[in-house]
Amino acid sequence: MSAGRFIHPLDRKLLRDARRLWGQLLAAAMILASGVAVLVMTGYLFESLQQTQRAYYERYNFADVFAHARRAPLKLGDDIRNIPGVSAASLRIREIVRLDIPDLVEPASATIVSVPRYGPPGVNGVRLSKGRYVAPGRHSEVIASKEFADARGLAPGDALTVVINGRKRDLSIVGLGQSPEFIYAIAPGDLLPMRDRYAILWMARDSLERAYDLDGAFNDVALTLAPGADAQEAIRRLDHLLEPYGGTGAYAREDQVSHAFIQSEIDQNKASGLILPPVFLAVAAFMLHVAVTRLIEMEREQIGLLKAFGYSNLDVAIHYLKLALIPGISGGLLGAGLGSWAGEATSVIYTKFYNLPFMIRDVPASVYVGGLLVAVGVCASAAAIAVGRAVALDPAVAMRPQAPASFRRGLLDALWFAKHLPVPVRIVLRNVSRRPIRAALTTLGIAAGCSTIVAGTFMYDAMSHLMDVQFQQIQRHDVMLTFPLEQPADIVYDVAHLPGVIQVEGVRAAPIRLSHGSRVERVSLQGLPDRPDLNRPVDADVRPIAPPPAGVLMSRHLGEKLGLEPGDTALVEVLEGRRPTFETQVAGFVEDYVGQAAYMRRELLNRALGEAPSISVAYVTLDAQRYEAFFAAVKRSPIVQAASIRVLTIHEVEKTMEANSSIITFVFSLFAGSICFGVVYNSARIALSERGRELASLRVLGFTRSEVSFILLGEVGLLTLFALPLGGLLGYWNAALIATLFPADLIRAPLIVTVERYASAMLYTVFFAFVSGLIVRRRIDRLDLVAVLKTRE
Amino acid sequence: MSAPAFETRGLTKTYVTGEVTVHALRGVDLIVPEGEFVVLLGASGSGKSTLLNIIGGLDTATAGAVLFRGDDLTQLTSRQLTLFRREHVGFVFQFYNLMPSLTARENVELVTEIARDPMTAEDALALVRLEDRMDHFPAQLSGGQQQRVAIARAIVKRPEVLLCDEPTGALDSETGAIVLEALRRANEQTRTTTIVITHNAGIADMADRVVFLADGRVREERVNSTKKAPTEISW
Repeated sequence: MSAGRFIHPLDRKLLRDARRLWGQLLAAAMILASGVAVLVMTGYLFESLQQTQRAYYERYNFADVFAHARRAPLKLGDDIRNIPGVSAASLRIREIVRLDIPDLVEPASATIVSVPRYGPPGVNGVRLSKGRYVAPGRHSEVIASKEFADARGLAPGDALTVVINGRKRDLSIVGLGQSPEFIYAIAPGDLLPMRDRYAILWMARDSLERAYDLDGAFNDVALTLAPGADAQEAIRRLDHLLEPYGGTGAYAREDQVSHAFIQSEIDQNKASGLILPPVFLAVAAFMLHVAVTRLIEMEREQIGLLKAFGYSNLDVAIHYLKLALIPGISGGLLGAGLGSWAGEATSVIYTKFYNLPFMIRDVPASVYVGGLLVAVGVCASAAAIAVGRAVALDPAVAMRPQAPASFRRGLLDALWFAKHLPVPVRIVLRNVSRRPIRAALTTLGIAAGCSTIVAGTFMYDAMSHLMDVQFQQIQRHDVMLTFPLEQPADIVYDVAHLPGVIQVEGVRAAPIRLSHGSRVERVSLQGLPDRPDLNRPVDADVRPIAPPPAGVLMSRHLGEKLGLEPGDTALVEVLEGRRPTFETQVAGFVEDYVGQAAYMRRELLNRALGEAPSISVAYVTLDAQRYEAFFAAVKRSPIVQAASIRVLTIHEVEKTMEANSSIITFVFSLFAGSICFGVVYNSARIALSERGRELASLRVLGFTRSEVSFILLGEVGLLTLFALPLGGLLGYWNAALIATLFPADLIRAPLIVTVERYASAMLYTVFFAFVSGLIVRRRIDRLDLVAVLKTRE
Repeated sequence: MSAPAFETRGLTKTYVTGEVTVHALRGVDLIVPEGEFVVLLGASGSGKSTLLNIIGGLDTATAGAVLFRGDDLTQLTSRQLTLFRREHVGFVFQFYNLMPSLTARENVELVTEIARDPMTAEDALALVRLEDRMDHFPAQLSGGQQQRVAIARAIVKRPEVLLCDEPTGALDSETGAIVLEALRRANEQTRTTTIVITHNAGIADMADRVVFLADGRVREERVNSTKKAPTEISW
């Protein structure tokens, strides 16, 4: 007995149909798989990042509220802990220090944070990955951040030279640590983590007390809140308590830089799971719908026969639904597998890029099952409409051949040039206009492919524009020197005398609270020279703007968040010195992409603060020949806290972009390719199936293969042409959507898509369409010319 | 008798389908004189369609030769056969095979655009008496009218031969007569060699020459001394 006997004859027909339609089913399955893969991958990353973040935060008591002050007494701690909702508080000393690394020409920097003398901190814990905790009474012991140690090849037992409060100190690394506070560790003023140049150091509180003359005092607070506590109320009260001690304004976890970056990465995964997959799923659904509709059209008589034999509507419906489930299930499984693999691979990259001590990969089964169900659901619903039509057919009607395709003169023929067009062109145009919805959906499908490339790779245009504006037009210095406290403005003359210095510009930066009505933002107010040159704000047309004699300039993003327009009045509350509060007019917006700030003339800020002309930052341009001599001098200087080197930042960004650019471009081209290829192939195959007889007749009449190919592929070629500008437009919209996923307070992606970007996306699209057209064209060679003489459709 | 348009010598065609070998033609020797209206008669399976396909350059012979005005078609490549059909042959199919997306006039123009010395589409349609239906689409025409458009499409390029495969097979007798009349007029006015295959013996009466095929061989060949008009033919 053969196995075949156990297979129902209808299922055998199904398998043969599937074999005949394998190309179309495969194309649909691949596109589905792409969609499900992205869905599962982003779901995987969202789940694992979120769980990792939650577990890391919980295990190491990541703070809910942060604040800095100049010097507050430790006895304030009781009041702080008594703020309603506060469950724990860490009163710390936290400073920026300079690192002197012998084999680095430039000085590196570190954030040094105090830890309790005995035992780990109750808030913002430190996870030791190697070595031990600092021992009481040993003032030179320090725990270094693991990623910095790894980047510099340091281990417990190694020495580290640090300039603490102007004095060189030789420290000994006793342990390597990580903390939820520094998952994304960037030095102030930097754009990306520079692992080998920026460290986090944890040091026993008493060692730092002595170094900073903060005996019995602190300058930094981290609070955890009880569940359900009102963070805003806690912030308000904390600010009130710290105000007499130089508090610079408390802020919630949402505004903590490291948290904001990691949270935006999590949110991006959630959002990209909602942006890309629907495109793939819709395209696959459309393709399957067309393919099943065509199959049912061709099998009208068989359907009639089946029904005449007594098969029920349900039997017929299930038969065709099963066919649609072949790509549904296979695409779903493949996509889930690919997505899981890509998710895991990406999570490994995340673990390295962010300083995560572990990665929880306990992804719920619902992520995979969901992906599979979506694929099956999409296929079933795509087929359902077509199947509904098959079910509705009356057996007698079904067995009669379908009426000939009816064409009418359309809008096209009303055009004066229509009758001058060659007849093959008219055939193409009439076929397009006869099924406008299908043509529109095909166009949309191809456009979706094209837009995927634009949106997937626009970030390079955005980043290169950002880099140009931020690092060529706005920041024109070579080095930014930060001083621990404000310095007399005359210090620029000292800086100017350092070897190799060409130009110096001093800026007074102070933390402020900027408010308009009920909206408040905590930002830095930059007191600029009257005619800034090395760090100059620019307007929307990238033209430099000088700070006006009165009023403030501010980042457009900041102004928009505060609901301000140029000409409006804003309230400035300086969180430093004698904490002046004053109203000022918004003189204009500046265009910037990194951070947010307000700008005014330095003398106005100095006057408001009631201080002598002073600065806190110096921007410097250097003679490249004397680069090393300059930094050697800076390393000797007691007052320079940190040096941020523009060219290193640029290199770091370029390195990161280059590392990802080829792989991202490849992945998105693959996605776009599968969409374009699938849609064009499917469309051409359907056209061939519908018009094969017509085309074979033309071959009999003496039309060459090329002429017949033109008629077959002209339609999809024309639709591809329509799809190109639409794809560009959709790509731009998608890019706009993606740009909104950035943590806007920290970095904003300018919505810049270059002509070259559009052009290359369109070229890719044409290429993929062309290749799939060529594959279908080969079938024209196999048209059965003899059969057309005898058969009726 | 004028010089032959077609001459076949020992034409043989064998198909192998699966495990069965079909001898469609078993050595056909036939001469079709220039300008004649020839009817190939035979039951289904007699080989008449295979013969027409080979003469028309749609199929290749297993053995033997087909001379078109002295040139052996069996020696031509697929590209040359396309060119042969394009330049010399007009086809009329049983099921018309018009382009549904084109009007009657455009279906005919489709051919004038690739022909070297065509008549106008309007003249060709006038020849089949369809002047008043030129801007109708196939779906707006009756079967007979569609077949007449197909004839106009076949003759518009002034082909040397017109090959018709069961041109009335899908039509009732009244409509069939109109179509045959169109073919007769075309043959008389353009002196195009016309070969019609049919299993309808009645049609033989309107031919110059009738060839009877059976089992892949020519059984009988007859020249009609008097030809009947299509309207006089009984079905």
